[in-house]
Amino acid sequence: MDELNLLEDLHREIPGPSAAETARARARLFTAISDPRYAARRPSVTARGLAVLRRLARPRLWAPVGAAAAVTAVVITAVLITAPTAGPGPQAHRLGSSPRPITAAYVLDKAASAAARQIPGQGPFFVSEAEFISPDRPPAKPYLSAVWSSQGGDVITGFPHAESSPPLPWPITLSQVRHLPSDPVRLLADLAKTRGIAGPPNYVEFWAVCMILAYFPVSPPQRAALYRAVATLSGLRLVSRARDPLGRVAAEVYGIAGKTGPYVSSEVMFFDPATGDLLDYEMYHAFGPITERRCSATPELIALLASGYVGTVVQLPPGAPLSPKPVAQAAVRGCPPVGGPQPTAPARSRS
Amino acid sequence: MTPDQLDSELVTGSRAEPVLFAEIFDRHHADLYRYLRHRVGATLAADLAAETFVTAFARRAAFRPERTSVRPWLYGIAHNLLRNHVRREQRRVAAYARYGADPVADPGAVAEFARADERADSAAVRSRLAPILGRMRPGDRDVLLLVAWADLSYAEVAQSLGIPVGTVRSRMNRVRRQVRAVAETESLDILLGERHG
Repeated sequence: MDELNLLEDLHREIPGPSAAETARARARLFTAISDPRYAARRPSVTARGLAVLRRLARPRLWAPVGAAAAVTAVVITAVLITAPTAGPGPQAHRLGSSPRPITAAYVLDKAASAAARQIPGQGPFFVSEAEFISPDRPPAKPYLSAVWSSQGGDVITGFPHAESSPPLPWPITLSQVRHLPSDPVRLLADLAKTRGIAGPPNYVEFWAVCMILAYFPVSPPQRAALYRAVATLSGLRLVSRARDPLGRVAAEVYGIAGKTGPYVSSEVMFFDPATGDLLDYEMYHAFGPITERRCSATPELIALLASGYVGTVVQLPPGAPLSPKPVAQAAVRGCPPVGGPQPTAPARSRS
Repeated sequence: MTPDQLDSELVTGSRAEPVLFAEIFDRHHADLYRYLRHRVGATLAADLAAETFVTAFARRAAFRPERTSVRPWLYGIAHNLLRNHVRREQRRVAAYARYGADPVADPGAVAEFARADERADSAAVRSRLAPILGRMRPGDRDVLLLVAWADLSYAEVAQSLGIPVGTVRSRMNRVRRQVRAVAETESLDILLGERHG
Protein backbone atom coordinates (compact mmCIF):
# COMPACT_ATOMS: atom_id res chain seq x y z
CA MET A 1 0.00 0.00 0.00
CA ASP A 2 1.25 3.43 -0.87
CA GLU A 3 2.37 5.31 2.21
CA LEU A 4 0.28 8.33 1.33
CA ASN A 5 -2.77 6.13 0.99
CA LEU A 6 -2.29 5.09 4.59
CA LEU A 7 -2.53 8.67 5.71
CA GLU A 8 -5.41 9.42 3.39
CA ASP A 9 -7.30 6.45 4.77
CA LEU A 10 -6.82 7.85 8.22
CA HIS A 11 -8.23 11.16 7.14
CA ARG A 12 -11.37 9.69 5.58
CA GLU A 13 -12.53 8.69 9.03
CA ILE A 14 -12.47 12.25 10.33
CA PRO A 15 -15.99 13.68 10.49
CA GLY A 16 -16.86 17.12 9.23
CA PRO A 17 -18.22 19.95 11.32
CA SER A 18 -21.62 19.67 12.92
CA ALA A 19 -24.38 22.02 11.88
CA ALA A 20 -23.93 23.90 15.13
CA GLU A 21 -20.18 24.28 14.60
CA THR A 22 -20.75 25.51 11.07
CA ALA A 23 -23.37 27.97 12.24
CA ARG A 24 -21.10 29.35 14.94
CA ALA A 25 -18.18 29.71 12.55
CA ARG A 26 -20.32 31.38 9.94
CA ALA A 27 -21.72 33.74 12.54
CA ARG A 28 -18.17 34.76 13.48
CA LEU A 29 -17.40 35.49 9.87
CA PHE A 30 -20.53 37.57 9.45
CA THR A 31 -19.71 39.50 12.58
CA ALA A 32 -16.45 40.41 10.88
CA ILE A 33 -18.18 41.15 7.58
CA SER A 34 -20.44 43.67 9.27
CA ASP A 35 -17.56 45.19 11.24
CA PRO A 36 -16.22 48.33 9.55
CA ARG A 37 -12.77 47.65 11.00
CA TYR A 38 -12.47 44.77 8.55
CA ALA A 39 -13.00 46.92 5.47
CA ALA A 40 -10.41 46.12 2.83
CA ARG A 41 -7.67 48.69 3.04
CA ARG A 42 -4.66 47.45 1.13
CA PRO A 43 -5.44 46.44 -2.43
CA SER A 44 -2.97 44.61 -4.55
CA VAL A 45 -0.88 46.86 -6.75
CA THR A 46 0.34 44.27 -9.20
CA ALA A 47 -0.60 44.56 -12.83
CA ARG A 48 -3.18 41.81 -12.64
CA GLY A 49 -4.43 43.12 -9.34
CA LEU A 50 -4.92 46.51 -10.90
CA ALA A 51 -6.82 44.92 -13.73
CA VAL A 52 -9.09 43.15 -11.30
CA LEU A 53 -9.63 46.33 -9.37
CA ARG A 54 -10.46 48.23 -12.54
CA ARG A 55 -13.08 45.68 -13.37
CA LEU A 56 -14.48 45.91 -9.86
CA ALA A 57 -14.44 49.68 -10.06
CA ARG A 58 -16.84 49.75 -12.97
CA PRO A 59 -20.13 51.45 -12.18
CA ARG A 60 -21.89 49.32 -9.66
CA LEU A 61 -24.99 47.71 -10.96
CA TRP A 62 -26.98 47.85 -7.80
CA ALA A 63 -26.21 51.08 -6.12
CA PRO A 64 -28.08 54.06 -7.56
CA VAL A 65 -31.39 54.59 -5.87
CA GLY A 66 -32.89 56.21 -8.93
CA ALA A 67 -32.05 53.23 -11.11
CA ALA A 68 -34.01 50.74 -9.10
CA ALA A 69 -36.05 49.49 -12.02
CA ALA A 70 -33.03 49.10 -14.24
CA VAL A 71 -31.25 47.35 -11.46
CA THR A 72 -34.10 44.92 -11.14
CA ALA A 73 -33.83 44.10 -14.81
CA VAL A 74 -30.12 43.54 -14.52
CA VAL A 75 -30.56 41.31 -11.52
CA ILE A 76 -33.22 39.26 -13.12
CA THR A 77 -31.21 39.02 -16.32
CA ALA A 78 -28.30 37.83 -14.27
CA VAL A 79 -30.39 35.23 -12.58
CA LEU A 80 -31.81 34.17 -15.90
CA ILE A 81 -28.59 33.81 -17.78
CA THR A 82 -26.69 32.06 -15.08
CA ALA A 83 -27.13 28.43 -14.28
CA PRO A 84 -26.25 26.74 -11.04
CA THR A 85 -23.27 24.47 -11.23
CA ALA A 86 -23.57 20.82 -10.41
CA GLY A 87 -23.90 19.61 -6.90
CA PRO A 88 -26.18 20.25 -3.97
CA GLY A 89 -24.08 22.81 -2.18
CA PRO A 90 -24.39 26.57 -2.31
CA GLN A 91 -23.35 27.94 -5.62
CA ALA A 92 -22.05 31.19 -6.95
CA HIS A 93 -23.70 32.67 -9.99
CA ARG A 94 -22.05 35.05 -12.33
CA LEU A 95 -23.47 38.29 -13.57
CA GLY A 96 -23.11 38.16 -17.33
CA SER A 97 -19.67 39.29 -18.38
CA SER A 98 -19.04 40.98 -15.07
CA PRO A 99 -16.27 39.35 -13.08
CA ARG A 100 -18.27 39.53 -9.90
CA PRO A 101 -19.93 36.27 -8.86
CA ILE A 102 -23.46 36.48 -7.55
CA THR A 103 -24.35 34.49 -4.47
CA ALA A 104 -27.41 34.18 -2.28
CA ALA A 105 -25.73 36.20 0.46
CA TYR A 106 -24.75 38.85 -2.06
CA VAL A 107 -28.29 39.28 -3.36
CA LEU A 108 -29.68 39.32 0.16
CA ASP A 109 -27.18 42.00 1.03
CA LYS A 110 -28.35 44.04 -1.94
CA ALA A 111 -31.95 43.63 -0.85
CA ALA A 112 -30.91 44.79 2.60
CA SER A 113 -29.25 47.88 1.21
CA ALA A 114 -32.37 48.66 -0.81
CA ALA A 115 -34.63 48.04 2.17
CA ALA A 116 -32.58 50.41 4.26
CA ARG A 117 -33.30 53.14 1.71
CA GLN A 118 -37.06 52.68 1.85
CA ILE A 119 -39.09 55.59 3.11
CA PRO A 120 -40.40 54.89 6.62
CA GLY A 121 -44.17 54.56 6.71
CA GLN A 122 -46.48 56.18 9.17
CA GLY A 123 -50.01 55.62 10.31
CA PRO A 124 -52.02 54.26 13.19
CA PHE A 125 -52.41 50.77 11.73
CA PHE A 126 -50.38 48.41 9.58
CA VAL A 127 -51.93 45.73 7.42
CA SER A 128 -50.67 43.21 4.88
CA GLU A 129 -52.59 41.48 2.13
CA ALA A 130 -51.49 38.08 0.90
CA GLU A 131 -52.62 35.31 -1.38
CA PHE A 132 -52.29 31.62 -0.78
CA ILE A 133 -51.05 29.79 -3.86
CA SER A 134 -51.46 26.08 -4.20
CA PRO A 135 -51.18 23.84 -7.24
CA ASP A 136 -54.22 21.92 -6.09
CA ARG A 137 -56.62 24.82 -5.71
CA PRO A 138 -57.66 27.82 -7.77
CA PRO A 139 -56.37 31.15 -6.57
CA ALA A 140 -58.24 32.13 -3.44
CA LYS A 141 -59.46 35.51 -2.42
CA PRO A 142 -56.60 37.46 -0.91
CA TYR A 143 -56.58 37.50 2.82
CA LEU A 144 -55.51 40.25 5.11
CA SER A 145 -53.05 39.60 7.82
CA ALA A 146 -53.40 40.58 11.40
CA VAL A 147 -53.38 44.33 11.74
CA TRP A 148 -50.87 45.85 14.03
CA SER A 149 -51.42 49.10 15.76
CA SER A 150 -48.38 51.20 15.14
CA GLN A 151 -48.91 52.72 18.55
CA GLY A 152 -48.89 49.50 20.49
CA GLY A 153 -47.91 45.90 20.31
CA ASP A 154 -51.18 44.01 20.08
CA VAL A 155 -52.83 42.31 17.17
CA ILE A 156 -56.29 43.59 16.37
CA THR A 157 -58.40 40.62 15.44
CA GLY A 158 -61.71 40.47 13.64
CA PHE A 159 -60.70 42.60 10.71
CA PRO A 160 -63.76 42.67 8.43
CA HIS A 161 -61.97 41.67 5.24
CA ALA A 162 -59.94 38.91 6.80
CA GLU A 163 -60.73 35.34 5.84
CA SER A 164 -57.78 33.83 7.60
CA SER A 165 -54.59 34.89 9.16
CA PRO A 166 -51.21 33.31 8.62
CA PRO A 167 -49.88 31.54 11.67
CA LEU A 168 -46.72 32.86 13.14
CA PRO A 169 -44.04 30.24 13.76
CA TRP A 170 -44.39 30.94 17.46
CA PRO A 171 -45.91 33.71 19.58
CA ILE A 172 -43.90 36.82 19.02
CA THR A 173 -44.94 40.35 19.82
CA LEU A 174 -44.45 43.54 17.92
CA SER A 175 -42.48 44.83 20.86
CA GLN A 176 -40.09 41.89 20.60
CA VAL A 177 -39.65 42.49 16.89
CA ARG A 178 -38.97 46.15 17.36
CA HIS A 179 -36.31 45.40 19.93
CA LEU A 180 -34.39 43.02 17.70
CA PRO A 181 -30.81 44.24 17.27
CA SER A 182 -29.50 45.48 13.96
CA ASP A 183 -26.49 43.17 14.05
CA PRO A 184 -27.55 40.22 11.86
CA VAL A 185 -25.89 37.54 13.97
CA ARG A 186 -27.34 38.85 17.21
CA LEU A 187 -30.70 39.35 15.54
CA LEU A 188 -30.99 35.68 14.65
CA ALA A 189 -29.79 34.65 18.07
CA ASP A 190 -32.35 36.89 19.77
CA LEU A 191 -35.06 35.66 17.45
CA ALA A 192 -34.20 32.10 18.39
CA LYS A 193 -34.50 33.06 22.04
CA THR A 194 -38.07 34.25 21.52
CA ARG A 195 -39.07 30.70 20.71
CA GLY A 196 -37.23 29.44 23.72
CA ILE A 197 -34.62 27.18 22.22
CA ALA A 198 -31.01 26.67 22.97
CA GLY A 199 -28.49 26.31 20.22
CA PRO A 200 -27.73 28.10 17.00
CA PRO A 201 -30.42 29.64 14.82
CA ASN A 202 -31.59 27.53 11.96
CA TYR A 203 -34.11 27.63 9.17
CA VAL A 204 -37.02 28.10 11.51
CA GLU A 205 -35.59 31.57 11.95
CA PHE A 206 -35.48 31.88 8.17
CA TRP A 207 -39.22 31.30 8.19
CA ALA A 208 -39.74 33.70 11.07
CA VAL A 209 -37.80 36.41 9.25
CA CYS A 210 -40.06 35.96 6.23
CA MET A 211 -43.12 36.29 8.44
CA ILE A 212 -41.79 39.43 10.06
CA LEU A 213 -40.89 40.96 6.72
CA ALA A 214 -44.37 40.14 5.47
CA TYR A 215 -46.60 41.14 8.32
CA PHE A 216 -44.83 43.35 10.84
CA PRO A 217 -44.46 47.12 10.65
CA VAL A 218 -40.71 47.20 10.90
CA SER A 219 -38.51 50.17 10.07
CA PRO A 220 -36.26 50.24 6.99
CA PRO A 221 -33.12 49.59 9.06
CA GLN A 222 -34.85 46.64 10.67
CA ARG A 223 -35.86 45.25 7.31
CA ALA A 224 -32.25 45.55 6.20
CA ALA A 225 -31.08 43.71 9.29
CA LEU A 226 -33.61 40.94 8.67
CA TYR A 227 -32.32 40.32 5.16
CA ARG A 228 -28.74 40.32 6.38
CA ALA A 229 -29.72 37.93 9.16
CA VAL A 230 -30.94 35.41 6.60
CA ALA A 231 -27.66 35.79 4.74
CA THR A 232 -25.77 34.54 7.78
CA LEU A 233 -27.39 31.11 7.50
CA SER A 234 -25.26 28.46 5.88
CA GLY A 235 -26.29 26.45 2.87
CA LEU A 236 -28.32 29.14 1.15
CA ARG A 237 -28.74 28.87 -2.56
CA LEU A 238 -29.73 31.39 -5.17
CA VAL A 239 -32.03 29.84 -7.76
CA SER A 240 -31.77 30.85 -11.37
CA ARG A 241 -35.30 32.07 -11.60
CA ALA A 242 -36.68 35.30 -12.95
CA ARG A 243 -40.26 35.43 -11.73
CA ASP A 244 -42.42 34.28 -8.86
CA PRO A 245 -45.66 32.35 -9.51
CA LEU A 246 -47.52 35.64 -9.95
CA GLY A 247 -45.11 36.65 -12.69
CA ARG A 248 -43.23 39.22 -10.69
CA VAL A 249 -39.52 39.66 -11.16
CA ALA A 250 -37.71 38.23 -8.20
CA ALA A 251 -34.63 36.68 -6.78
CA GLU A 252 -35.29 33.33 -5.15
CA VAL A 253 -33.26 32.07 -2.25
CA TYR A 254 -33.80 28.82 -0.49
CA GLY A 255 -32.15 26.77 2.16
CA ILE A 256 -32.52 23.15 3.04
CA ALA A 257 -33.68 22.88 6.60
CA GLY A 258 -32.91 19.23 6.94
CA LYS A 259 -33.82 15.72 6.10
CA THR A 260 -35.87 13.35 8.18
CA GLY A 261 -35.50 9.93 6.73
CA PRO A 262 -36.40 10.18 3.07
CA TYR A 263 -38.16 13.50 3.54
CA VAL A 264 -36.76 16.96 3.19
CA SER A 265 -37.86 20.33 4.38
CA SER A 266 -36.74 23.67 3.10
CA GLU A 267 -37.55 27.34 3.20
CA VAL A 268 -37.91 29.59 0.22
CA MET A 269 -38.19 33.32 -0.21
CA PHE A 270 -38.76 35.44 -3.28
CA PHE A 271 -37.81 39.08 -3.05
CA ASP A 272 -36.93 42.05 -5.15
CA PRO A 273 -33.29 42.89 -4.47
CA ALA A 274 -33.70 46.31 -6.04
CA THR A 275 -36.41 47.44 -3.62
CA GLY A 276 -35.97 45.18 -0.63
CA ASP A 277 -39.59 44.01 -0.85
CA LEU A 278 -40.44 40.46 0.13
CA LEU A 279 -42.70 38.95 -2.53
CA ASP A 280 -43.35 35.36 -1.49
CA TYR A 281 -42.27 32.85 1.10
CA GLU A 282 -42.79 29.23 1.82
CA MET A 283 -41.82 26.52 4.20
CA TYR A 284 -41.90 22.97 2.98
CA HIS A 285 -42.66 20.27 5.47
CA ALA A 286 -41.71 16.76 4.50
CA PHE A 287 -42.96 17.29 1.01
CA GLY A 288 -42.15 13.84 -0.12
CA PRO A 289 -39.44 11.30 -0.58
CA ILE A 290 -36.56 12.74 -2.50
CA THR A 291 -36.79 10.05 -5.09
CA GLU A 292 -40.55 10.29 -5.56
CA ARG A 293 -41.56 13.91 -5.33
CA ARG A 294 -42.86 15.64 -8.38
CA CYS A 295 -40.32 18.23 -9.29
CA SER A 296 -42.66 20.00 -11.68
CA ALA A 297 -45.28 20.69 -9.04
CA THR A 298 -45.64 24.22 -7.81
CA PRO A 299 -45.27 24.25 -4.07
CA GLU A 300 -47.72 26.02 -1.86
CA LEU A 301 -46.55 29.44 -0.98
CA ILE A 302 -47.72 32.77 0.33
CA ALA A 303 -47.58 35.68 -2.08
CA LEU A 304 -47.52 39.14 -0.56
CA LEU A 305 -49.73 41.50 -2.56
CA ALA A 306 -49.60 44.72 -0.61
CA SER A 307 -48.83 46.08 2.79
CA GLY A 308 -48.67 49.43 4.45
CA TYR A 309 -49.97 51.82 7.04
CA VAL A 310 -53.63 52.77 6.99
CA GLY A 311 -55.74 55.23 8.89
CA THR A 312 -58.51 52.94 10.08
CA VAL A 313 -58.88 49.24 10.72
CA VAL A 314 -61.27 48.85 7.80
CA GLN A 315 -58.88 50.26 5.19
CA LEU A 316 -56.99 48.16 2.71
CA PRO A 317 -53.29 48.76 2.26
CA PRO A 318 -52.30 50.89 -0.73
CA GLY A 319 -52.46 48.95 -3.97
CA ALA A 320 -54.26 45.98 -2.48
CA PRO A 321 -56.31 44.02 -5.03
CA LEU A 322 -59.76 42.83 -4.03
CA SER A 323 -59.64 39.71 -6.17
CA PRO A 324 -56.96 37.06 -6.40
CA LYS A 325 -54.11 37.62 -8.78
CA PRO A 326 -53.78 34.91 -11.40
CA VAL A 327 -50.92 32.53 -11.06
CA ALA A 328 -48.70 33.08 -14.04
CA GLN A 329 -46.47 30.07 -13.82
CA ALA A 330 -48.24 27.38 -11.97
CA ALA A 331 -46.06 24.44 -12.71
CA VAL A 332 -42.67 25.54 -13.81
CA ARG A 333 -40.74 25.64 -10.62
CA GLY A 334 -38.03 23.06 -10.38
CA CYS A 335 -37.15 21.08 -7.34
CA PRO A 336 -34.27 22.32 -5.28
CA PRO A 337 -31.52 19.75 -5.48
CA VAL A 338 -31.15 18.07 -2.14
CA GLY A 339 -29.37 15.13 -0.64
CA GLY A 340 -26.76 12.98 -2.23
CA PRO A 341 -23.05 13.16 -1.79
CA GLN A 342 -21.04 16.25 -2.48
CA PRO A 343 -19.49 16.24 -5.91
CA THR A 344 -16.18 14.53 -5.95
CA ALA A 345 -13.28 16.84 -6.54
CA PRO A 346 -11.25 16.06 -9.61
CA ALA A 347 -7.98 14.29 -9.04
CA ARG A 348 -5.28 16.75 -8.20
CA SER A 349 -1.72 16.50 -9.28
CA ARG A 350 0.71 16.42 -6.44
CA SER A 351 3.69 17.65 -8.26
CA MET B 1 -14.18 28.93 -15.05
CA THR B 2 -12.37 26.60 -12.73
CA PRO B 3 -13.18 26.38 -9.03
CA ASP B 4 -9.83 28.04 -8.28
CA GLN B 5 -10.64 30.95 -10.57
CA LEU B 6 -14.06 31.36 -9.00
CA ASP B 7 -12.46 31.32 -5.56
CA SER B 8 -10.04 34.05 -6.56
CA GLU B 9 -12.79 36.22 -7.96
CA LEU B 10 -14.87 35.75 -4.86
CA VAL B 11 -11.99 36.92 -2.68
CA THR B 12 -11.05 39.85 -4.87
CA GLY B 13 -14.71 40.72 -5.30
CA SER B 14 -15.19 40.66 -1.54
CA ARG B 15 -12.96 43.69 -1.26
CA ALA B 16 -15.80 45.74 -2.66
CA GLU B 17 -18.64 43.41 -1.66
CA PRO B 18 -17.63 41.83 1.63
CA VAL B 19 -20.59 39.47 1.76
CA LEU B 20 -19.14 37.51 -1.19
CA PHE B 21 -16.64 36.08 1.25
CA ALA B 22 -19.42 33.98 2.76
CA GLU B 23 -19.24 31.84 -0.36
CA ILE B 24 -15.57 31.16 0.33
CA PHE B 25 -16.62 29.94 3.75
CA ASP B 26 -19.30 27.68 2.29
CA ARG B 27 -16.89 26.20 -0.21
CA HIS B 28 -13.97 25.46 2.09
CA HIS B 29 -14.96 25.43 5.73
CA ALA B 30 -15.79 21.75 6.01
CA ASP B 31 -12.53 20.56 4.45
CA LEU B 32 -10.43 22.97 6.45
CA TYR B 33 -12.22 21.95 9.61
CA ARG B 34 -11.55 18.26 8.96
CA TYR B 35 -7.89 18.94 8.34
CA LEU B 36 -7.57 20.91 11.56
CA ARG B 37 -9.64 18.40 13.49
CA HIS B 38 -7.31 15.65 12.46
CA ARG B 39 -4.39 17.67 13.70
CA VAL B 40 -5.63 19.28 16.91
CA GLY B 41 -8.98 17.77 17.81
CA ALA B 42 -12.59 18.79 17.42
CA THR B 43 -12.81 21.57 19.96
CA LEU B 44 -9.77 23.48 18.87
CA ALA B 45 -10.41 22.76 15.21
CA ALA B 46 -13.79 24.45 15.35
CA ASP B 47 -12.19 27.53 16.81
CA LEU B 48 -9.20 27.55 14.50
CA ALA B 49 -11.30 26.98 11.39
CA ALA B 50 -13.60 29.84 12.31
CA GLU B 51 -10.64 32.06 13.10
CA THR B 52 -8.99 31.15 9.82
CA PHE B 53 -11.88 32.57 7.84
CA VAL B 54 -12.12 35.70 9.95
CA THR B 55 -8.37 36.24 9.53
CA ALA B 56 -8.55 35.55 5.82
CA PHE B 57 -11.42 37.98 5.48
CA ALA B 58 -9.48 40.64 7.32
CA ARG B 59 -6.48 40.04 5.04
CA ARG B 60 -8.37 39.71 1.78
CA ALA B 61 -6.91 42.95 0.49
CA ALA B 62 -3.48 41.34 0.57
CA PHE B 63 -4.58 38.23 -1.33
CA ARG B 64 -2.59 37.98 -4.56
CA PRO B 65 -4.46 35.88 -7.10
CA GLU B 66 -1.50 36.01 -9.43
CA ARG B 67 0.69 34.32 -6.84
CA THR B 68 -1.51 31.83 -5.12
CA SER B 69 -4.97 30.33 -5.18
CA VAL B 70 -7.41 30.48 -2.32
CA ARG B 71 -7.02 26.99 -0.87
CA PRO B 72 -3.30 27.19 -0.13
CA TRP B 73 -3.83 30.74 1.07
CA LEU B 74 -6.43 29.55 3.58
CA TYR B 75 -4.32 26.61 4.71
CA GLY B 76 -1.36 28.92 5.12
CA ILE B 77 -3.39 31.14 7.42
CA ALA B 78 -4.60 28.09 9.28
CA HIS B 79 -1.02 26.95 9.70
CA ASN B 80 0.01 30.26 11.17
CA LEU B 81 -2.80 29.92 13.69
CA LEU B 82 -1.87 26.29 14.22
CA ARG B 83 1.65 27.20 15.23
CA ASN B 84 0.19 28.89 18.26
CA HIS B 85 -1.09 25.54 19.33
CA VAL B 86 1.91 23.36 18.61
CA ARG B 87 2.23 22.18 22.15
CA ARG B 88 -1.34 21.03 22.21
CA GLU B 89 -0.79 19.19 18.98
CA GLN B 90 2.32 17.52 20.38
CA ARG B 91 0.29 16.16 23.25
CA ARG B 92 -2.26 14.96 20.77
CA VAL B 93 0.33 13.20 18.67
CA ALA B 94 1.62 11.51 21.80
CA ALA B 95 -1.88 10.30 22.62
CA TYR B 96 -2.28 9.23 19.04
CA ALA B 97 0.90 7.22 19.20
CA ARG B 98 -0.21 5.61 22.41
CA TYR B 99 -3.70 4.63 21.34
CA GLY B 100 -3.45 4.51 17.59
CA ALA B 101 -6.65 6.50 17.40
CA ASP B 102 -7.83 10.02 17.68
CA PRO B 103 -8.96 10.36 21.31
CA VAL B 104 -10.74 13.63 20.75
CA ALA B 105 -12.41 12.94 17.46
CA ASP B 106 -13.53 9.51 18.53
CA PRO B 107 -13.25 8.93 22.29
CA GLY B 108 -14.92 5.58 21.99
CA ALA B 109 -12.21 4.40 19.69
CA VAL B 110 -9.52 4.88 22.31
CA ALA B 111 -10.50 1.82 24.23
CA GLU B 112 -10.98 -0.02 21.01
CA PHE B 113 -7.58 0.83 19.66
CA ALA B 114 -5.94 0.32 23.02
CA ARG B 115 -6.36 -3.32 22.14
CA ALA B 116 -4.66 -2.67 18.83
CA ASP B 117 -2.34 -5.61 19.34
CA GLU B 118 -5.34 -7.77 18.63
CA ARG B 119 -5.60 -6.25 15.23
CA ALA B 120 -3.43 -7.14 12.31
CA ASP B 121 -4.94 -4.77 9.85
CA SER B 122 -4.58 -1.15 8.97
CA ALA B 123 -5.26 -0.05 12.52
CA ALA B 124 -1.94 -1.49 13.52
CA VAL B 125 -0.31 0.33 10.69
CA ARG B 126 -1.86 3.53 11.95
CA SER B 127 -0.50 2.94 15.40
CA ARG B 128 2.94 2.55 13.85
CA LEU B 129 2.56 5.67 11.77
CA ALA B 130 1.68 7.87 14.70
CA PRO B 131 5.09 7.83 16.40
CA ILE B 132 6.72 8.48 13.04
CA LEU B 133 4.54 11.53 12.62
CA GLY B 134 5.45 12.60 16.13
CA ARG B 135 9.18 12.29 15.45
CA MET B 136 9.09 14.15 12.18
CA ARG B 137 10.38 17.66 11.96
CA PRO B 138 7.39 20.01 12.19
CA GLY B 139 8.12 21.35 8.73
CA ASP B 140 8.24 17.86 7.26
CA ARG B 141 5.03 16.90 9.01
CA ASP B 142 3.27 20.00 7.72
CA VAL B 143 4.25 19.19 4.17
CA LEU B 144 3.20 15.57 4.46
CA LEU B 145 -0.16 16.29 6.03
CA LEU B 146 -1.01 19.13 3.67
CA VAL B 147 -0.46 16.72 0.80
CA ALA B 148 -2.18 13.72 2.37
CA TRP B 149 -5.02 15.37 4.29
CA ALA B 150 -5.56 18.74 2.62
CA ASP B 151 -5.01 17.32 -0.88
CA LEU B 152 -2.77 20.19 -1.87
CA SER B 153 -0.35 19.84 -4.75
CA TYR B 154 3.34 20.43 -4.12
CA ALA B 155 3.07 23.87 -5.63
CA GLU B 156 0.12 24.68 -3.40
CA VAL B 157 1.94 23.42 -0.34
CA ALA B 158 4.81 25.70 -1.27
CA GLN B 159 2.42 28.64 -1.57
CA SER B 160 0.74 27.73 1.67
CA LEU B 161 3.92 27.49 3.73
CA GLY B 162 5.87 30.13 1.86
CA ILE B 163 8.70 27.81 0.88
CA PRO B 164 10.16 26.83 -2.51
CA VAL B 165 8.63 23.91 -4.37
CA GLY B 166 12.01 22.22 -4.34
CA THR B 167 11.95 22.25 -0.56
CA VAL B 168 8.52 20.64 -0.62
CA ARG B 169 9.83 17.89 -2.90
CA SER B 170 12.86 17.18 -0.75
CA ARG B 171 10.79 17.10 2.40
CA MET B 172 8.28 14.78 0.79
CA ASN B 173 11.02 12.44 -0.37
CA ARG B 174 12.34 12.32 3.17
CA VAL B 175 9.01 11.69 4.85
CA ARG B 176 7.96 9.19 2.21
CA ARG B 177 11.01 7.12 3.04
CA GLN B 178 10.18 7.27 6.72
CA VAL B 179 6.55 6.33 6.24
CA ARG B 180 7.37 3.66 3.68
CA ALA B 181 9.73 2.03 6.12
CA VAL B 182 6.92 1.79 8.64
CA ALA B 183 4.54 0.34 6.10
CA GLU B 184 7.04 -2.24 4.96
CA THR B 185 7.95 -3.18 8.52
CA GLU B 186 4.31 -3.50 9.36
CA SER B 187 3.68 -5.69 6.36
CA LEU B 188 6.51 -7.93 7.52
CA ASP B 189 5.07 -8.00 11.05
CA ILE B 190 1.69 -8.96 9.74
CA LEU B 191 3.21 -11.64 7.60
CA LEU B 192 5.19 -13.00 10.53
CA GLY B 193 2.13 -12.79 12.73
CA GLU B 194 0.15 -14.85 10.29
CA ARG B 195 2.88 -17.45 10.07
CA HIS B 196 3.23 -17.65 13.83
CA GLY B 197 -0.45 -17.26 14.54
